[in-house]
Amino acid sequence: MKQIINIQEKFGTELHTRQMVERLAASLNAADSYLLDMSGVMQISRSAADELYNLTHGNMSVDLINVEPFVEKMLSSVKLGRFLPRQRPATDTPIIHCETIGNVLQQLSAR
Amino acid sequence: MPDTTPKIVSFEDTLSAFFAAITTDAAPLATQFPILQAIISIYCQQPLEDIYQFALDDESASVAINRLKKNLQTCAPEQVKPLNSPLTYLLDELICNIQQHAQTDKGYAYLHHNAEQHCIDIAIADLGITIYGSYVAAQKHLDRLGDSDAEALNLAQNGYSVKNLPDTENRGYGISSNMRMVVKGLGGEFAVLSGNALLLYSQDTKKILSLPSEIDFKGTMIIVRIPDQVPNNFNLYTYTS
Repeated sequence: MKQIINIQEKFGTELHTRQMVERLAASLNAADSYLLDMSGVMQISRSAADELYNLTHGNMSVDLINVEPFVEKMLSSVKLGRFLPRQRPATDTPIIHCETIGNVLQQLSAR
Repeated sequence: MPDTTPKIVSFEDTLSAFFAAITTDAAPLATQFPILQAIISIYCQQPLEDIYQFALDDESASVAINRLKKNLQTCAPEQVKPLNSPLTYLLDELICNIQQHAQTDKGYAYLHHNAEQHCIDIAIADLGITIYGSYVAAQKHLDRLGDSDAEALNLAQNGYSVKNLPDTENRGYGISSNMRMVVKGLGGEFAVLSGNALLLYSQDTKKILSLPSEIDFKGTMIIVRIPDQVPNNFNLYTYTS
């Protein structure tokens, strides 16, 4: 029998930080199975979604139910990020060495 | 007698006035522009009423994020709904970065709606180990870093994380994705001051300044300006994966 955990009751309607999910993960027993009821969780950060992905794709039996649209989209972004190569610019951003505060002000005024 | 104090208008003006104020006695400039007072106060570790200082436990971080959004609700109620998702994304990731990397026990946040210039100015800061210090603490990318705060900023803005899983680059989105979202998606401007380096990213320019030795911020400060109108074609998910 899977245990149901109501995430809104535990954390509120927004999961802001990676630490929130880390704390949740630490409270689970590896020998048990869980359903995380995500109903009413309307916002999630990318970091928290990434940690939630780790939790649901790790060694423990943890699944999500009643995922709200915003959270679903953020989880999809995280999943995509896992499988697509990271996009980085072909050229490095220039590093400009400013010896004086005058050089800094000059660089800030130069478009 | 006419006021001859230079008028601070642009994002670059603000940063210029900040550097002038901390290296010379240009204090009068600071009274002109609210965010300038805020970033000077954080830099100089002087409390200012408008700066919200918060502990880094989950509850305090959540309270801080919600308080900043409430500030916006009060001063710019019409802008809150369209800005809610990008603003929450920005605050979540930047405050999460402090929790995960800065090795400090508190953060600082400031948000001000500048109605005259139709923009929202935000500063999120910590007095922690700097971005360079975070790479060194994790013993990551040391070959590229040398002793350079500027190289550390370069790595961070390209999404090189100190905490990726072994088989995937799942982290490092905090600064890199928010930079793109603010500048490309919202038409705003983004700056990061960490140690003695400044990253400046706007519509016209993207560069990293290695600053003179007299400027050495013991921490990391992200300074953002976002227009208060969200473009119709803005899509948050363009920037999250």
